[in-house]
Amino acid sequence: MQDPGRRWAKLLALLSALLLVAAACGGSDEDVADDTDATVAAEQEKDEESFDEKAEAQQEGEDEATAQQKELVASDDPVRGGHVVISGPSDIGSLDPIGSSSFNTQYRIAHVYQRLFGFETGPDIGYTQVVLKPELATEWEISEDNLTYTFKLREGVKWHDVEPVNGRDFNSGDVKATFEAILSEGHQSNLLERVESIDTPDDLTVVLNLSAPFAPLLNNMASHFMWILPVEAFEEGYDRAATVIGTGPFILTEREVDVATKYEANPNYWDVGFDGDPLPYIDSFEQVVINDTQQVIAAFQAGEIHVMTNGIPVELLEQLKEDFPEAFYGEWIDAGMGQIGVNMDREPFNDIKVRQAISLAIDREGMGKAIRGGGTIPTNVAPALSDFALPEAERNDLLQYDPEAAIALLAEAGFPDGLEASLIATDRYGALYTAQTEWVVEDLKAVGINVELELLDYATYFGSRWPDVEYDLQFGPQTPFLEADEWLRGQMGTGAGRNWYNISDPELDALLTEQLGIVDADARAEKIQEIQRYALENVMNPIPIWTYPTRWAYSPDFANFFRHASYGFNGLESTWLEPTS
Amino acid sequence: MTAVQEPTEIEPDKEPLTITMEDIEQTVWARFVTSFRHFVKSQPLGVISGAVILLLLVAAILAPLLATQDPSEIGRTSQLDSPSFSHFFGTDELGRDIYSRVLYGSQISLIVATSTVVVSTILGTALGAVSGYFEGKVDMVLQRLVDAVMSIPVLILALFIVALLGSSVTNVVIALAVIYTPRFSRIARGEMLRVKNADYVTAAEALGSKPWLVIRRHGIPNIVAPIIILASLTFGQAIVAEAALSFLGVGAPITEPSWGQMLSRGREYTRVAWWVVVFPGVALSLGVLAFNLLGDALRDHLDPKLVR
Repeated sequence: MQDPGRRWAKLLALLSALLLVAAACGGSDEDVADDTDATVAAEQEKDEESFDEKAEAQQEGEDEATAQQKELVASDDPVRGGHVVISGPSDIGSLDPIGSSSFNTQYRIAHVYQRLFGFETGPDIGYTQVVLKPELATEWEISEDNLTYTFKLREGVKWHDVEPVNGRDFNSGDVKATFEAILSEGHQSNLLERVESIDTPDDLTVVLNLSAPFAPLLNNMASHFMWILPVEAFEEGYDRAATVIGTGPFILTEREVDVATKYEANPNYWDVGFDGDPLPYIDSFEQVVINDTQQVIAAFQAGEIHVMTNGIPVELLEQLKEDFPEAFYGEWIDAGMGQIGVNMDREPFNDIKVRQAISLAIDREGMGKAIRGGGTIPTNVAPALSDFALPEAERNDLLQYDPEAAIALLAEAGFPDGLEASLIATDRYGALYTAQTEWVVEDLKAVGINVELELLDYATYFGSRWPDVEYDLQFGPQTPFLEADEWLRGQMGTGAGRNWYNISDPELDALLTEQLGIVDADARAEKIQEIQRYALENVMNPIPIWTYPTRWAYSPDFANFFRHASYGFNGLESTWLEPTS
Repeated sequence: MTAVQEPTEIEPDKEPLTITMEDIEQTVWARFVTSFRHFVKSQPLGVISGAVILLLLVAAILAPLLATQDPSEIGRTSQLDSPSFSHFFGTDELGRDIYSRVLYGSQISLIVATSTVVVSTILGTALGAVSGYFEGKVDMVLQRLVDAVMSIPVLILALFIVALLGSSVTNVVIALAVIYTPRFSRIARGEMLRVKNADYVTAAEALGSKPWLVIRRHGIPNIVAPIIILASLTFGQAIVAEAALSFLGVGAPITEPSWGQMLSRGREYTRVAWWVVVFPGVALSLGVLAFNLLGDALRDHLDPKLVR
C-alpha cells in the first residue's frame, strides 16, 4: 500500500504544474491586450522611422557616446593604483602575433607589445579616426619618390624584464627581425608588401626600401597586427604563442585560456602621465572570459567588472541602464562587418548568380533592427572608414533584399528547386551573432538554399575551417581593419593573407594593385570606391551583410578612457579608477 | 469377492482438455484488462500521468497540424512579443512563435526519450539476461563493463560522447543509450538470477531446451515487470538529459526547436520576457513529472508485495 501522504504530495506536485500552465496561459489576458497594443504601436513607430533617419540617429548616438566619454574624465587629477577587470565573451589559445590574426589574440597582447605608431585616443578623436601617435618610432621621413621610409626609434625603451630578453634596450634590430618574420611567415605580410629590404644604419634608425610606391604603408605601421617583438622571439625561438615579452605599459603575468589573462604595470614604461610620473596609473588589470549574458550583467552590476565588452541584447541593455544608471554606456558604429564567405572552389558557389542570389536573400535591415537594434548595410570596406566607404544610399541600393529575384537567379543558375549547402559559424561571438546566424540560415532557406548549419568551436572555426577554406558558406564578423587595402586586397586579392574564399579575379587584382600606387588621398579614395562597385558586381564575395552598433559599458569609477576601433584597449595606461564614495 | 471396478471409460461426449493459443491469448488479454482496471482504480495519479503523456504524444504527432506557424520561421517585426491570440505563448528573440516551438520541441524530446529507452531496454535486458543466466566469466566481464559505465556521472559521460561524435539528435540518443543500458542490464541480471532457479526453468532445462530458448521463453517474460518500471522512469530521465545537453549547446542543433535549447537561449531574456522560458520549462517539467509518476504508479501496481 502506498502511504497516503506520499500520494497527496504527488497529486499536489502535478496540480501545481497544471496550475502553472493555466496561470501562464490565462492569467495575463489584460496584460496581453496592453502589451499587444504597445507592441503594435512600437512596431508602427519602428516602421515609420526611415532607414536614413535611423542612420542619423546612430550618428547622433555616436556623438552622444563621445560626449558620454568626456564625462568619463572626472578630473585632470589622476588617481594611482587599483585593479581593472575587463570582460569579453571568448578567448584563444595562441598569443603569437605572427601566427594568429584573431581579435582575441590582439586584445590580449595589445598592452604588452607596441607598434611603431599607435592611434591617438581622446575626447575629441572619433572611434575610427586615424591620428597616428608615435609609439616606438618618434619621427619618420618619406623620400620624394615614395620608395624609402626612414623611421627614427624612441630612445630609452626597455623590454620587459622577462627571460630570455631580461629588460635589455629596444633597438632597430628588433624591428628588422619582426618585419622580416612578418614578410616571410606572417598572416599580415600584405601590410608590408613592396618592402624589398630593411636597413638598420644605427640602433635607432630603420629604413624600409620599397620596390614601388605603397600608399597604405604608414597607416599600416599602426595596424593592430604590427606589434614589434624582440629579436629573441625569432632567434632563440621561444614559444611566441605562450610567451609575450614586449615594451608596452603592462607585463603579462598569468594566463589561463578561457578563464582570465592577468597583467601588472610595467615599472620601466617610457611614457609619463599628467603627474609627471611613469604610466600606467593602474597597478594591474585582467581580461576575464564570461560567455553568459546574465552572468556578465550581474557581475557588471555588482561592480566586479569595469569594462563590459560583451555584446548584450538591446532589451537587456535597456533594462541594465534602468537598473544601473550610474554606469557609462557607449555606442559606436562598429568598424567591422558581418560577412557571408563563399568557397569559390566549390560548385555551384563559383557561379556569380548563386552568390548574388545569396546576397538578395538576406533581409539585412530586418535582421539588424530585430537583433542589433540598429546598424547599417556595409559594402566591402567598412562604413566606419568614411573616406573610402560608398555612400549609404548607394550601399542600400547595391545590396537589396529581394527574395523573388534570388529565386529567379537560382533558377537561371540551374537550381529551380533550390540547392543544398552547409554553413560554418561559431557561437563564440556571443548570443547576438548566433541569432544573426540563425536569421541568415532561415533567409537562405526561404529562397530554397537549404542550409545545414555547422556551429563550430572558435578554435576550429578561426583556426582551421575558415582560413583553410573548408566550407561551402561561412558567416561571421570580419576584423575591423582600419585600412581599405586590408579590407579589399587583404581579403580579395589572389593568394592574399585573408583571402579565405579562394577568390581569384585578374581584373580585380589589377585594380587592387593600381590603388597601392596612388599617393594622392582623394584619387585613391575614388579608386577604392570603384573597386567596391566592381567587386559587388563581379565577385560578390565575401558578401557584406551588416555592420552593427557596438556597445561597451564602463563602471562609474572608470575614468579617462576613450574607445578606439583598433584592437586592444587603446590608452588603457592613461586610465584610472576614481575613488568610489 | 469384490467386483473389480471397471475402469471408468471416458465419456464419449467429453472432449479431452486441450488449450489452444487462442485461449492463452484470451487469458492474457483478460489478465491485462483485469490488471488495467485494477490500475485505474488503485493508481489515480498514474492514470492522470498517463493522460498527460498521451497528450504530449498527441501534441508531438499532430505538431504540424496544431502549430500555428513554422517553428523556425522568423518574425521580422515580432521579437519578444508577449502571449497574445496570434502567438499563444508569445515569441522569442527572433520573433519565432513559442507555442509552435514547444509543440515541435515535444517531438525532439519524445523521439530522443523513446529511442533511448527502446535501445537501452532491448540491449540492457538482453545483456543482463545472458549475464545472469550463464554467470561465470561472461557475467564477470559484462558486469565489470556495466560497473565502469555506471561509475561515471551521467552528464559528464553524455557530454564526452556527444563531444566525440558531434552534436545531433542521433548522437544524443547514442550517448544516452550507452548511459542507460547498464541500468537495465543490472536489473535484468538480478531478476534472471532469481528466475533461473525456478522449477519451470529447471523443468525446461531437463527437457533439453537450449539456453537461448530458456532465456527467451521462460526467462525474459518473467523478469519484464521491473524492466517496464525502469523504462518508464528512464523516459523522464532521458527527457531531462536531452534538455540538459541541448541547454549546454551539445544536444540538438540550434536550428531545431528543442526544449532545453529554448530554455538556454531564453534564459538571457528572462528579465524582460518571462514567456520565453516559462512555456518550454513547464512543458519539460510536466513531461518529466508525468513519466516519473507513471513509473512510480506502475511499480506500486506491478509489485503488490511492495509496502512502503
